[in-house]
Amino acid sequence: MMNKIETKKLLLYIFIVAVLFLLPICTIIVNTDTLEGGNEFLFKVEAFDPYDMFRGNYLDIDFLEDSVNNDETYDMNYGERCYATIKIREDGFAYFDKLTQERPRDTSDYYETTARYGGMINTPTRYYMNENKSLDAEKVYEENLDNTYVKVRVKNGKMVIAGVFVDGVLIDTIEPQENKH
Amino acid sequence: MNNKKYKFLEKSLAELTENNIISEEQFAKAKTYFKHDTKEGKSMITIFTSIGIFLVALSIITLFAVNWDNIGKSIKVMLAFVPLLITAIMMFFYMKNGNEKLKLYTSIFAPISILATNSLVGQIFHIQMETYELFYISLLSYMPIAFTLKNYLSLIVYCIGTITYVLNVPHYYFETFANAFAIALPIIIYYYINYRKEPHSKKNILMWVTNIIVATMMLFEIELIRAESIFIYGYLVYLVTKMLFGSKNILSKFLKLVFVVCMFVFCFEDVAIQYEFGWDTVLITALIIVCMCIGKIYKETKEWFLVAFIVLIQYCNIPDEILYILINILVLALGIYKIVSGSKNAIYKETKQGVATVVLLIMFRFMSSDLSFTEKSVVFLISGIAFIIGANILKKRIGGKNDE
Repeated sequence: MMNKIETKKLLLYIFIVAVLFLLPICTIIVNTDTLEGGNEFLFKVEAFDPYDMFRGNYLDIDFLEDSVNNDETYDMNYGERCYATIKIREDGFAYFDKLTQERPRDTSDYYETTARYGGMINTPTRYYMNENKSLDAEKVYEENLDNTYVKVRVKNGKMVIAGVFVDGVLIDTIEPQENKH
Repeated sequence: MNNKKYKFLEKSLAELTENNIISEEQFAKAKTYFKHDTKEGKSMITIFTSIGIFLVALSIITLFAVNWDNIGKSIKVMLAFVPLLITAIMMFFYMKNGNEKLKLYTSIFAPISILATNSLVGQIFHIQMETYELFYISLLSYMPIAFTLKNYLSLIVYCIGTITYVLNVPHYYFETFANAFAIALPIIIYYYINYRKEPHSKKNILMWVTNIIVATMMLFEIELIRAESIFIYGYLVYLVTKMLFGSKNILSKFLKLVFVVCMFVFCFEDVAIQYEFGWDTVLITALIIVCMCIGKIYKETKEWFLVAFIVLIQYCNIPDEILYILINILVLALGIYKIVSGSKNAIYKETKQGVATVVLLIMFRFMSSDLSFTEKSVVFLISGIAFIIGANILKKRIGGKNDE
């Protein structure tokens, strides 16, 4: 009888520990896999510096191209899951080509997201930084409005931010001109 | 038995001894039998120790945060899992020995560690997750622990987390409200089974859970109808519940807790938002005044703090930056009032609530201040050590009284 209770306790404990660690570990695995094996794309962005109570300062990035330009845009409801295929322009920057309700089969370069209004989609918005540098990063962006972009890796519909750059240099490492004077 | 009652008893027994109704020996035996109950004193020790441990843990976390940039990614990930490892170890020893103190400390530490790990992992990998989503996944991880611990604190933490999640959700994402009930449903079922085993038990956790869910649902539904009037409608329901079922009713108690939590939430600068005045708010205000008169609730000083909060939110055309300062002052005043009132009437429960209110407010103000992580970390560490020392001093004093 005691062994049964002990076994039940052990199983319960294993279940508790599994649940505790499962979610963050799965998140890490998916993200690492995407970062290492995904295709790289550059998107032009605008950025500003808000604050998250639990995760500190971050750079809120807004993809300049977060709507679908193609006439074949599927008429989506707000919040509906959709898939946006990604293509690259001549200038080397990426854009979202078209939206579909089904997962694309002819390409692996697509982003799984949710629709907003008027052909727009939800894109990644957060880039976490050192709290002392996030305000500077916003200033750097304001000084380089046309040259700021985000590098992302895309695999199986998952998009992970690899970094925010200005003219090829990571924004975390740049000091604003304003601070230099 | 609290101090006040014990003193009354002692005085009464002395009078009976003087009038030779009872002997000196009987007086001494009765005094010993009804000796000063140190239960409330002991719970203060637990609270002080808990706050101290919490602050020390927070200090360690912020110390790592200061040097975060200098640490490699793989080490960051390992450090991110340390809080969860500590929780797993605490749960192991609790399940092995069934120690009640460990149960209490785990109830406090576990939700913080889950939130900390998920936040850190989110930060390291730039996970795209809003605050309410962070709460949601943290609650899912905490659910099995809340079931296993089965104490009031874990249940309250779990329910407050659920409500915070619901209140943070953008109101047009109705599906996430359904998710909140999906989280809550297993708890209702589980505790219902326990309730069936002890239907007359005073610790009617099913009542708590059901009322919490009903209150949350009510507040959320009110928000869907008129976002501006959420507090005033909610407060009216609270008053009616209190009038009909009394202040000891679980629903009344919980609704009050919801308002107090909202007051704390509004202490943050970027949350204080002026709601628009509408004619329905005039009608509801009139109903509130009527309920306060009928139920004689106007006599209760504590209620006026809630009324002041609702008035500030609803009616006063004050700039946001001043509004949040006023709310902070209101919460501080509430805490000080409870400390003074509780100490005066020897109602330790009220004193504890007052201390908790002031401590929480200081922490919230501190956490949202412009001080650097290093400075915050040092202050947390010193405060934590001060609380632990205070707990030890209190323990010695109570131990000394018991020896007398």
